[in-house]
Amino acid sequence: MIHNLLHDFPNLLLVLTLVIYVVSLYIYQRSNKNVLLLPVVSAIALVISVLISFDIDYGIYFESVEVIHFLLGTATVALAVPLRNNFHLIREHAFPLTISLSVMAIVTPVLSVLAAWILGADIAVLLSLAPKSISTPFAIGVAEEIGAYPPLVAAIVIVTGAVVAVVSSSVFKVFSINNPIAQGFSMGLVGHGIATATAFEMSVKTGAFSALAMGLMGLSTSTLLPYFVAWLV
Amino acid sequence: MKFLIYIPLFIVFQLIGNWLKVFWDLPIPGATIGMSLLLLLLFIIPSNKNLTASAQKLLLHLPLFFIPAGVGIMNYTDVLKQDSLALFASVFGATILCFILAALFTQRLLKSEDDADKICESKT
Repeated sequence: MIHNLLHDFPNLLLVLTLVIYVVSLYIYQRSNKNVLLLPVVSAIALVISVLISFDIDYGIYFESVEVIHFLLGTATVALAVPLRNNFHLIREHAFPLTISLSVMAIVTPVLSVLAAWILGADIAVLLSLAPKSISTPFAIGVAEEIGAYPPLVAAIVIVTGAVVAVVSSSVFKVFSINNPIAQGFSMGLVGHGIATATAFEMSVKTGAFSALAMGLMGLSTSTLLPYFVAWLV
Repeated sequence: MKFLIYIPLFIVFQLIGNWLKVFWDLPIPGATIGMSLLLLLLFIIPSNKNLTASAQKLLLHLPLFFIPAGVGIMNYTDVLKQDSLALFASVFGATILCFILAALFTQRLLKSEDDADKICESKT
């Protein structure tokens, strides 16, 4: 019965997605913010299991929830506000932060693609790995431009952020990174929004520099990477 | 509820970005263009509490907006299986390596800036 209902009224998929999102948020909060239960990860897994069990095509699903996808672009635009609010932070350390950003904006995609290239990955997979350190809304936009697989990019970006969030405190201990500016900036550069959330748990200063790095990295990579790929291919 | 009035502003910039992208045939995502324009505007007009609040409310629910694109992964199980080793090496190996490099490099740069400041101070 549910099967027919979902097929006849695809708008129910929109309702279902919102309900699943709220449930995922609740589970995450109840689990004391366990990184394995990140709302985006569990929500996507739950939606996929519903679609598979009721034999619903991804194309039909996407059409019914397209309004949510539209808001992803809106949220990307809204990222200008925290970037503007954190911009004064760069003035105090303009030289080191600009150099660090410029170098890492090149090194990160190059190393990410190189690692997979050595192991013989397909070209579309390589392209999907290039924007993996930028915030998901930017990364999905870039994926559409450079001919990568947007859903694969979304998954790669989310896991990348989670990896940085999980290893950050051990890395800081092992390599004696004790400057909160360096901590926050590197977390935002490589681990975008997901690591930024963890950075804010460390301290407000760490979080602010992480948010700054995330915004700058997203802005620069999503502007330059499409040109770079067009020039290369 | 005052923060709600800024959501349409974000949408307007998003639409302008999409439109400029098509108009000039740019390879940059429309939302990035919209965001850059809004960023420029924010350097001209003073920041205000409601604007910040409305961006925060929207960004708080970013995970929700990823769901439609993310669910598409269900059609890529072949790719995931085929290139699993390469994906693993890049997403885990390269990510951790880049993160260590970024942290060490940023700390070193900040330290040399600090040292340079101290030298300047001791000279004056």
